[in-house]
Amino acid sequence: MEVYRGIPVYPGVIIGPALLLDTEGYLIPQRSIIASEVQTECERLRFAIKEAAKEVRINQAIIATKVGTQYGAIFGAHAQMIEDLFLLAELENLISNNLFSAEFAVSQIMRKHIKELQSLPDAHMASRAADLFDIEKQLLSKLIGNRKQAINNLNVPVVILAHDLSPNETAKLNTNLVHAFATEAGGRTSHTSILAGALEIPAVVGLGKFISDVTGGDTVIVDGNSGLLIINPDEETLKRYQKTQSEIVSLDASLGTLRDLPAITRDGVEIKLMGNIEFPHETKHCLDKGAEGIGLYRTEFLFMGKDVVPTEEEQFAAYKEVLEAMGPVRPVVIRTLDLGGDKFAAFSNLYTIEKNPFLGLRSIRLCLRNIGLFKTQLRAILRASVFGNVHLLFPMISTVLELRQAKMIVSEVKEDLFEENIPFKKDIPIGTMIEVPSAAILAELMAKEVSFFSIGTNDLVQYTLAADRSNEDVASIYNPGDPAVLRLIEMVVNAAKHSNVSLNVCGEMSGDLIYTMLFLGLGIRQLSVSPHSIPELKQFIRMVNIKDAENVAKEAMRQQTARDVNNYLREQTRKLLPDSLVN
Amino acid sequence: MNESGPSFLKRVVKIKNPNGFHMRPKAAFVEAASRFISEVKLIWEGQIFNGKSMFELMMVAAAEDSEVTIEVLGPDSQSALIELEKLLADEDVIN
Repeated sequence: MEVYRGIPVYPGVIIGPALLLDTEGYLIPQRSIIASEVQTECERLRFAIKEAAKEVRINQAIIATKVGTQYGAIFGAHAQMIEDLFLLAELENLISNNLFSAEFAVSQIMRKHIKELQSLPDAHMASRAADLFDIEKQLLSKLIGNRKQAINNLNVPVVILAHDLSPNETAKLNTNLVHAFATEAGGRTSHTSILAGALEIPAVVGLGKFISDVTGGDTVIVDGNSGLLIINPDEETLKRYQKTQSEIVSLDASLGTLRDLPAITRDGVEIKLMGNIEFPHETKHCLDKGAEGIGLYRTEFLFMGKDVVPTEEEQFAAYKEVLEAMGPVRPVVIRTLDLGGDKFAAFSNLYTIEKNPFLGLRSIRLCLRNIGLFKTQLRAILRASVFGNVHLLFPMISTVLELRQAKMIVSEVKEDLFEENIPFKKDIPIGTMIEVPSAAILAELMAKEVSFFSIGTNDLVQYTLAADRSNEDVASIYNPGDPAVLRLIEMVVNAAKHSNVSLNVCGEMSGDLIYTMLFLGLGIRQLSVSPHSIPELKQFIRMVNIKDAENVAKEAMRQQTARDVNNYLREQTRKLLPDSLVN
Repeated sequence: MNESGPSFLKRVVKIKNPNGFHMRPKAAFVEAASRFISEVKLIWEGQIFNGKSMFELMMVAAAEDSEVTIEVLGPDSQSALIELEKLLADEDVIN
């Protein structure tokens, strides 16, 4: 049994067979054989080796003629490794003495060698591990043949383990069969993590190296509550987690009874709880959890995992689906394309490689440079507006001029639709994200341009502290509790109050209970969170007194470091929620 | 198998390849070693590796100008040693 600690990104516990995505993409169908099968198993192995080597040598010839003999030689080395008699002896030994299936023997031996390589101090040698992963894949593909189970072609439930998952890959996961995932890389607010929330499957990221310790088909536990990955759990651990699984089911049921109760503080102040979504199907989840609307529909996920830009009709259909599901009254805030940064769609012709993508042509900037793309989306949103209570939100606005430009383009699209006699709502509220410090500082001016603000805490924290949220080396600087972040939020709240524009907070911070009292105390009355966080947040809000929250906020604003802020807020939160898992 | 009978030879060789003893020279080494009947061992940093196994040689990280020892044991050990030494010491054979 091996236990790895990482960052939990979606709660829940799943026990299941591992599917290694990066290395194999294969599920080993059977791990052991009976003694009478040793002979045939060894023959299968020898045949697979012969076939794999043949294929590699063909590649060698192709590459050699295409780009030169020295490149082909790499494949020659691969073929030599595949045909290595000492490797064969090792494998046959495992088959005859341990009664391993050929696939399992290959996987075990390769993992052993990969681990040895990775333990070498020479970085160049460690990268040779990639060659071994390659060879493993070639042998497994020959052994498993048509039974190979690519990620797109699963037929049994699995837990996906990978070094990293791109948002594109994550978006394509079939959640009927992928019940959880765990990755070596990543941080709490990386977009892959946000997507895990959208997929509603338990997930842990940032676990560090574990891939070489696990073989496809191993039983693993993903504990999305505590951020653990357990490989080959022992009997006792397995029992304990099976018990946890059944407890989670009953806890969900008890929080479920909160659905129809209002999110209202003890002294009667109503808080609007909205859901963040990435895909139309999540509206159902939002309604199930008692969301009063969609506070943030991240439309860029419609574009990710696609080879071409979705057409106006495709977009229209998605927006209409969301609006119809939420009905005529509940607000749906559609945020225009926020592509770029770490969210890259496949149609990369829109971008050039940038030295500093988070400070580059992303989000609204990208849209203002690609007016056609932007107008197509706006047309789709405006056309869908007749089906519900739509609000339009621009991301990453950093200057007043940008905001005016974006609004002007909306006016143009409205004129076009009007001339074409296409129905749309004429008065849809327009808002801006406040996620760049300049926008927070100019909140008073921004307020004159819009009818609502939405504070995007993830980017606001990143840009205020100039710390990349996915770079583990500076992740400790990236802290939502930093006094600089809190002061900017306070400025925005005050500007919104003076100018009478409504205010919403979205981003990971809004769903973190330790900041709830601070937000309420500062005067924030609307929060938009992942739908799964709504019941817990609502339960907590129903315990809070606004007067107390105001005192907590005052005290928190006096602290000088993020650590002091977080410690203080954690302590205050625990006073109300002594048994909870406030972390 | 022929007149001389088994004989043991060993020699310390300096790696001349500017990129060190990497994949392609290793492949060439294994291929050459496998053509001989003699056992071929390569010793690096006190560890012994089978010279006919690409898998074992993978673990050798000898840089340019570092030293490895070749040990051969068998009827054709002499010609094996000459050829293998040439492979390691020649910077032009394979790069």
